[in-house]
Amino acid sequence: MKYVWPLVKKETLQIIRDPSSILIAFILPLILLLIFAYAVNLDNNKIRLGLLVEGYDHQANDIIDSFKGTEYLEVIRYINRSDLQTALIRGDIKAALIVPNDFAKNIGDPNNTAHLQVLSDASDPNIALFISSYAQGVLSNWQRIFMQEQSITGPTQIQIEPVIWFNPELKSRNFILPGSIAIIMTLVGMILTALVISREWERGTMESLLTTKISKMDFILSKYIAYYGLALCSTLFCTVLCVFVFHVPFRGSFIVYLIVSSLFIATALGQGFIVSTLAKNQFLAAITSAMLGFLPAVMLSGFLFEISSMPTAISWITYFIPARYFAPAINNLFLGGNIWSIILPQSFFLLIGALLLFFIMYKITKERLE
Amino acid sequence: MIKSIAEISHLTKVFSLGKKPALDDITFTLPRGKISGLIGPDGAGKTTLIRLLLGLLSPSQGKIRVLDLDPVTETKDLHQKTGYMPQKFGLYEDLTVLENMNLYADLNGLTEQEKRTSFKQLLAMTNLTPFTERLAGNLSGGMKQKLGLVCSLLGHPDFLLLDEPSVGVDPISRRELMKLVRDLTKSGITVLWSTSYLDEAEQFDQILLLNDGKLLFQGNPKELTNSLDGSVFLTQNTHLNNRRLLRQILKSQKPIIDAVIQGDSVRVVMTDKNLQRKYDTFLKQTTPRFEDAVIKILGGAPMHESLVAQNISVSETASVMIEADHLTKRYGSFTAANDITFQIKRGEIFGLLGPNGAGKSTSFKMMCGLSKPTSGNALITGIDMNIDPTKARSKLGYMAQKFSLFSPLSVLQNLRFFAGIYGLKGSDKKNRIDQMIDVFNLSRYLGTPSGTLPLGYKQRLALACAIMHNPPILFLDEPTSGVDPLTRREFWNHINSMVEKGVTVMVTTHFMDEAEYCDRIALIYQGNAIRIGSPSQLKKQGETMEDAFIRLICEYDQKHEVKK
Repeated sequence: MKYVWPLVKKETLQIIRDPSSILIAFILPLILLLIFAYAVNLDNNKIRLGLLVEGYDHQANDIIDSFKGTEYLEVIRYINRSDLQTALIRGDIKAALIVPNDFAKNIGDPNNTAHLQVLSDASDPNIALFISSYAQGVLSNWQRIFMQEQSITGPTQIQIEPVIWFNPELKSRNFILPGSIAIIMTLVGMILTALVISREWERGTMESLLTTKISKMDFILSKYIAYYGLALCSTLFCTVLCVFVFHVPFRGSFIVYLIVSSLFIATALGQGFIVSTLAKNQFLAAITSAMLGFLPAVMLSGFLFEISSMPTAISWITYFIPARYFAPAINNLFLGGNIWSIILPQSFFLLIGALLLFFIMYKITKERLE
Repeated sequence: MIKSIAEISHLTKVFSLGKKPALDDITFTLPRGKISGLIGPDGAGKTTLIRLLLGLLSPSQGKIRVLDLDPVTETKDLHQKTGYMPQKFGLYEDLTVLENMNLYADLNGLTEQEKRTSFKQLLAMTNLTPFTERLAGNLSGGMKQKLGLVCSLLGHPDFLLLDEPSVGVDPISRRELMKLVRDLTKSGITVLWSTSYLDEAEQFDQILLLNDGKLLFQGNPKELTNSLDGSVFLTQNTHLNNRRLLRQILKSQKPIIDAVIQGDSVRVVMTDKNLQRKYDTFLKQTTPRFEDAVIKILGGAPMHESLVAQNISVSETASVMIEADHLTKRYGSFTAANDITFQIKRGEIFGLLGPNGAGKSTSFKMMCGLSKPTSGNALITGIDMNIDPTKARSKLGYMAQKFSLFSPLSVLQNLRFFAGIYGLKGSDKKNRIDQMIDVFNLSRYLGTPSGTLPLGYKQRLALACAIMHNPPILFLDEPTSGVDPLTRREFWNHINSMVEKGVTVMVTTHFMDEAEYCDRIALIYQGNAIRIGSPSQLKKQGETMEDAFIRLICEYDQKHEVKK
């Protein structure tokens, strides 16, 4: 193991001399963060909401007012159902709220359930999700006040109770940016390393190394250490941008954050090294890493697309995506604080993944040329 | 102390089942304290053999002992005692000279004290001391080679293995390296040096001649060469054009092993020493070369006439076919080609000769319109390459330095494709393709993807595709580098027979002996054409082409040193 440090020194010098590694570690994350911060905006300022009131009374009015009173929605009144449906189909409105004519009657009657209908255009699932949870939020809020006013006790009439935690302003940026660090670091970690071993083969330096005194472990560890350092710098750079430029709150412990990030970086580096070892060609390695690293991390980490709404087979695949474990952990550290019940299991899975990938890397690294 | 440093018996290496072995039943020993040359064309198995000796590959059959160790089971012990410079020198181009040395010193477990003494000694030995802070990637080929050697010597090896150290390096640096390595053997180091240059062989203490995975000869190169004493001749007083004479000799059915053009004469190797008397008047005895002996071992040169030119007719009548008119190419402040002027006449073979990076390729690219000159003109049959490149290029057949055909396509598909893009149609196309298959003996490989062909056949196919459209001018960029000597002779037979019919050829090469095939040579050095003339004009009495080359370059350097 005594040959690790000369190799780490060599890797570090190569990193410093190679402008592309700086580009990948700092410029690429910057561009991606900007994209995630500005272009991917899940906030829906002024969603057009159609409103149809069939039965009119002051309770219904209350509800309507609480919808109207928000800056997120633009409420448009419709007089009959067919107009409302046409508008929804044509995309003039993204969602509709229907207050049926028996609403007022049922709301006062403890033996009956009052119904409200929320329709949303799920062709844009984010908006649909937002509208339905927003509607639930407004309604439960209204209901609580209503029940206090009426001093009604007993079973709640509206069952669902969404509570908006951690991101009370429902600012999607606060949610997207920490999650995007998981994706950015998958990409950065894999692209940085994908070139590293294929380069040694292509330039013929691997053959020279194989005939010195170094062992396989020296070689692998030196790569891990050097690129762990670079990737960690890149993660910290992203974090600083998130906190100080985009004002995402950071409520967790920084030490815990470092540990969890380190585990995640180890998995990303492991994937990159494995691709690089198997590819033996820089170009192929880079393409494979982007395909294998970035796309599944975006699609399957559960950060943009809800895992629970995926088909079962696909949701099984997500268990093999390290970003799936890192995204919720990092989100909690940013927005929630040290919530051990989330951070500990996710860290455990990341640790298992990192060790497994290291083991695979060790197994496929050859000491001969065949 | 054991006398031999490596003992190899019945070594066979097969990479994938069913394929021809890369090394086939090889037995030899390497004597201690000597330089052994591992000689053979590309693909002969040289690199495979070196890797097997180092334990980087494991043998399929047979036994290897190196320094009394088994390379497969005692790999790390072996590496303590060996130094290895792989092809491309194994350097980190983004590290400086000193950083490379530090890395390899650390990886070989040198202490700071040992480092200091060896660095000082090795840097002084290689004259690299002024360049320690320079990035390895910015060194010249010769300096990279020296640094590679330094790095492989850092562990104080007993056995040094150098894989093609002279590729991409100019002849002057090659000689310096040989001298360095020679000095090393005096301190007891054993060296194995692989090369595809036959003219390097005579400098080795013993050689291993590999061809096609088989060991054809092991022994002293001088003894081998001397065995031909008295059977090698140069023609004289013939008044015949050397190419026509060569063709007659090839046709003559005489007991001849080899016949090649050498300057104004033809070099002939006879099977029998006594035959000379019959031809006394026009054959003069000369000293045999190593290559003569190799050809004999390989069973003699192909003794038949090339049929490639039988249907060729050149309608172009201009007397000057190719003209470079004050060609200059600058990249920023760097002048890659400086005021290069020459004319090539119809039916002439003109060579651009020079070390790597001298400006040959730059000049060549400007001549075929692949690069625009900063100033000056390139003219093909009087047509300016910059004014009407399409018309100028239609006169050209071009064979690129690296294999540039479509590797996944089969031989036949490549032939059809090139016939198609040259505008051949119908029965014309079919006849021409059939003729190419016939002339170049390609029928065995028609369905084979061209990327997997043996090197010699790749070159044949590339030439076939380049001459498909009967071009009056042929541009050949390093056409035979790495090819075995028999294939090279066959290749030049084809070229010669086309030139006889009036085809004009421009060729670049860094093979000195290949320059002998040219009618005239432009010696390119540091962007300048420092001399233009026929090979016999450039050479002094008794010099080889390489001697002449080194002398001319040194003269040039001295003259410019004085000016400064």
